[in-house]
Amino acid sequence: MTKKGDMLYAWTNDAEIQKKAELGGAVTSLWKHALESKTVDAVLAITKGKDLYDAQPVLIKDPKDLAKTAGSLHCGTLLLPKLIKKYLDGAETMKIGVTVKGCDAMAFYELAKRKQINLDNIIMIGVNCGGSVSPVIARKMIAAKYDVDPDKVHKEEIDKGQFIIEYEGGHKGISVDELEEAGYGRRSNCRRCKMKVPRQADLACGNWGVIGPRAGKATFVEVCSEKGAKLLDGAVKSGVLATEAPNPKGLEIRGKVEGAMMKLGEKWRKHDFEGLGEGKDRLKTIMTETSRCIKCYSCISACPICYCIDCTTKNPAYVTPGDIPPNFMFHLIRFAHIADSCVNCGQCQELCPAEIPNAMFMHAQQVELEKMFGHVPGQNMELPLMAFVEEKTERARLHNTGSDMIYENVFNPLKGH
Amino acid sequence: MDLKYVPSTCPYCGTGCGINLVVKDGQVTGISPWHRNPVNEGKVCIRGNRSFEFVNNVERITTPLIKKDGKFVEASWEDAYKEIAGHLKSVKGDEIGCVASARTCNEDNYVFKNFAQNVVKTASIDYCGRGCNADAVRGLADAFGKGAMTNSITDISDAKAILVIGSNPLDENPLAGRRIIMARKNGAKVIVADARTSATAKIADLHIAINPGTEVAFLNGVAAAIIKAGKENKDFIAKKTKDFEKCKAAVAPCTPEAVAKICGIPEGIVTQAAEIFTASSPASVVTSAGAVSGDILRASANLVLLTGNVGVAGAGVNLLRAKSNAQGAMDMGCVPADNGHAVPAMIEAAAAGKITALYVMGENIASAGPKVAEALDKVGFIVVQDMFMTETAAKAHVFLPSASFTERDGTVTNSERRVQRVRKAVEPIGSSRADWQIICELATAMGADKGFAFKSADEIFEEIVKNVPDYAGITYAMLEKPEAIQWPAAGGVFGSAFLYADKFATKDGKGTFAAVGYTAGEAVSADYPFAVAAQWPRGTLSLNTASIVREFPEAKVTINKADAQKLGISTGNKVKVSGKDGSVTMTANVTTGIKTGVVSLPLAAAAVKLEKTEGA
Ligand SMILES: Cc1cc2nc3c(=O)[nH]c(=O)nc-3n(C[C@H](O)[C@H](O)[C@H](O)COP(=O)(O)OP(=O)(O)OC[C@H]3O[C@@H](n4cnc5c(N)ncnc54)[C@H](O)[C@@H]3O)c2cc1C
Ligand code: SF4
Ligand code: SF4
Ligand code: SF4
Ligand code: SF4
Repeated sequence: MTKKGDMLYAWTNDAEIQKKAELGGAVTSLWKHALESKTVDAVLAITKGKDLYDAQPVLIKDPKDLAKTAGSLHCGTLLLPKLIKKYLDGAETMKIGVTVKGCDAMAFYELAKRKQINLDNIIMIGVNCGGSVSPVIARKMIAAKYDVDPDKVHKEEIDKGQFIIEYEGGHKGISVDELEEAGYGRRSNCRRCKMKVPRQADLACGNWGVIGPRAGKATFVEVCSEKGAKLLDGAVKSGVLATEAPNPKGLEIRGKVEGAMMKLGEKWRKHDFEGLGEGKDRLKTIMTETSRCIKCYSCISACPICYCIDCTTKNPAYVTPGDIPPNFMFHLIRFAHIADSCVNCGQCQELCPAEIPNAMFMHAQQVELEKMFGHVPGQNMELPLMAFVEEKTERARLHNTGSDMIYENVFNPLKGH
Repeated sequence: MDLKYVPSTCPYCGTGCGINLVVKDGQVTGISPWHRNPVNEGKVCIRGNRSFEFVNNVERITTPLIKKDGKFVEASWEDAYKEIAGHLKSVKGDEIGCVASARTCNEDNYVFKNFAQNVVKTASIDYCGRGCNADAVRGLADAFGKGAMTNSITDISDAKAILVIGSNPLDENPLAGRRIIMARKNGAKVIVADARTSATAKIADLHIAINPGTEVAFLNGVAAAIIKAGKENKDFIAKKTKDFEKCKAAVAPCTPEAVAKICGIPEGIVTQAAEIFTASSPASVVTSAGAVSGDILRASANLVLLTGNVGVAGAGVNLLRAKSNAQGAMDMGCVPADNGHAVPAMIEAAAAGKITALYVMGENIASAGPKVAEALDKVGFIVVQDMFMTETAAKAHVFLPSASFTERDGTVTNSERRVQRVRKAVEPIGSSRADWQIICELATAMGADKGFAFKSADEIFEEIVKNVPDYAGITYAMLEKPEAIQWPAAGGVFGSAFLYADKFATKDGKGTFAAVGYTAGEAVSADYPFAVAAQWPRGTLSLNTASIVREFPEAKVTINKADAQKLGISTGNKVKVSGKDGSVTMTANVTTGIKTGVVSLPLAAAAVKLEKTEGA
């Protein structure tokens, strides 16, 4: 019987999964068992769309369809939890298994805190994540830095600090540092990310620490919850998954790599946040950059912290409808509502047509708020700062001031008087 | 519960952004980013973001309608076809006008053109409610050989100098506007000539508030200043172009002093613009179709020929199109034959009783103003294919319900000549049908025995590539790649990100300068004291999308604060706007972001008068 805290090497016994899988196919086998045992009704995972740069979410119900979700797509920059909130009833009506990167896992918790997702109905298998690359940038990078036609590439991976491609006629690796120096490489939020092993998932899987004969053929699994332990035991029992104790040296290496990645994340934070300046200078940078906003609402629709039906940015008293660019209040509203809980998933930046480094701004503020109030978003169900406002008391206080905008717009107390 | 992503192309503007339709249990319930599309990399503007809303709008008409005693009555497709066939058969071809659509697919427009040509036998077919698109395209074709944008939306970000004129991309074609932002981040200098401090003007290095209608004078002024400074690209002009002398003579009167006066700008600024435009290359002009487009496009073409800015990435004349398939509708040949009428002429002919039947597919021509609506009342028989009861549809005798872009297959061609797929993600709502299918069935009902026996959009596309040379060799299979294909595709060489690397597509292979003189348009007068900076009207899709209506609930007239004060107008007041063609009432938007003496509104008028009608 495995239990929370256990570590092991795992790989599949299923020939088809093995062919397509990244590192032994543990993740896909676990999902196979989850579906077959009806532990979950469906699995939400990532599959290739038009090609290996085109990551697409798929909802799988038939275990036979799982093989197409095996393999890691490093150009998959999607955030799955918000899709579950938007399109799958917040997992209220079905049990869903989801493969999660660190940012996905964090987003799940933040959405759950806001009662937008029912975590009881979610099983998360986490994958360690060194970062993801936006697909069009990846293609440009492959053409420019590797001198390879991106259409000829049939596999990409990130290993030992290199972005490696396999293509018709060879393979080539270039260090991620060098690529990022040249303006390519991982998304800017990924560079700052320190959620390398998503331990808030039920299982955390990755290649770090797999050494010896199993290297490249098995995945290192850290059991992070009783749910995870049960799933793993079940998969072994059903015969789809094989496991063994990890090489102790591997364990050590895994710890070291994780530590090194955290340091790298810290380095990037320093680099990015110092670039923003401080105090008034920072404000000025933010105001200048956001002044290009075309009000597409993408940052809001993609953000895992945003969920309000009546978004305050749509209150005409604050932001005049139709004004492009909108006033700074549009952005202030987002800062005020989100900064304490931003999980640095990068969606608001990657999707911004005005090329505003939104995630960088929000993340910078989150880090400051964390220093001040100690709240760490995305790790557990601990409530954010804003939740500590006692709503009734606050409403009463606002009401006594006579004219409070929030109050008026939400409850219209003067209506009918 | 079922969830699926279907990649498609945004149905709104000519930027042609890729989107993923989110299909849940057989219904399109949202849009998700399609990061892999090279045009927009997953990013969209508000329209793309909400482009699923109109699909499920309860206002959609999904049954054929026949007007009886002034009222629409639901009908079967067979009866609707019979009704149309009966009427159209009794009308002579030259009395029939056909309006194709800049927002339906190439396949629809292709069969529609054949329908006009071979079934109702009219030369009067056009695809745009106003004359500007055709003018603009002709301007480009005459200068360079092909009636399309010379470069790519994506390569605008490689430009080192950009002149934006007659266009506000950040608002109108936002994901093309993004490329200007990117260029600027890469060190480009951006000049915006616009009477309004538009969203694009706000990111410019140099904003020049020229009077509306004086674009040609300004462009000629910049050309003259470049020639005067001896900064023209003599080698390029000698080797690759002709008629430079004609252009030189024509721009000569546009001295900085003259231009300053015409455009209402400070004197030194034209020279400054010329300096920026020639300081580094590549340099490009970004514009869109509007009034006097033909001249603006020729004057822009002169400027890039003069400086050798054609045939390289990041240069050229970049015509951004308002609607998703404006380029494709033209490529399919939905333009009047020599003896046919364009839409404005059709309207005049209708008013004069010379056009007695109209067939309109997916365009709302009546929105152009009261004059058009009046002319339509005189037309004996009108057929409209649409999703919604537009002003034009309301005047129809037979209404045929079209399937939305999520309910059918097809292709659309964006501004940069990229032929992209539209994919069927769900079944057509109600009994609506794909536009091409409607046309084919009707043609068959009218006795056409060949040319309309298509079973799928794919089959039509196979015909298109045989008949439209620039599309030769393209197949649906090739379009599966997210890059799709930018025509010309002839000769098996695909993916022309920019045209004319070697030579121009004109008969003699030379880029052709033109003598485009500035002629003053309708001047402001004591009767109509305000010049109009035209605004794009919100179209049928926007008007049926709640999220967009929330942002833009009504047409507004934007006026400078100083002018407004004199007239006692404040923001929110109702204002009567009168021009030569009549008057309308709009809400005022008072700002400092527009030149004094200029107002901005979505109407085709050159000069207007404003009167406050109500409001404190
Ligand atoms: C973007 C990314 C970066 C990674 N970086 C590291 C790293 O630095 N160090 C490390 O030890 N491990 C990393 N991994 C994890 C590693 O690549 C393997 O996924 C893991 O070892 C499991 O292997 P497997 O053979 O059991 O998985 P498989 O059985 O092949 O299953 C892989 C699962 O990942 C899902 N998936 C694929 N792409 C994505 C995506 N973009 N986003 C979300 N889910 C996805 C698939 O749908 C599938 O469920 C990364 C994974 C991803 C997706
Ligand atoms: S934010 Fe972190 S977890 Fe998410 S993709 Fe980037 S590196 Fe991976
Ligand atoms: S994504 Fe960018 S442009 Fe769109 S609303 Fe947000 S900040 Fe503005
Ligand atoms: S603010 Fe941006 S980076 Fe932060 S959680 Fe929201 S979308 Fe992600
Ligand atoms: S820029 Fe144009 S094509 Fe792109 S999302 Fe907006 S409206 Fe659609």
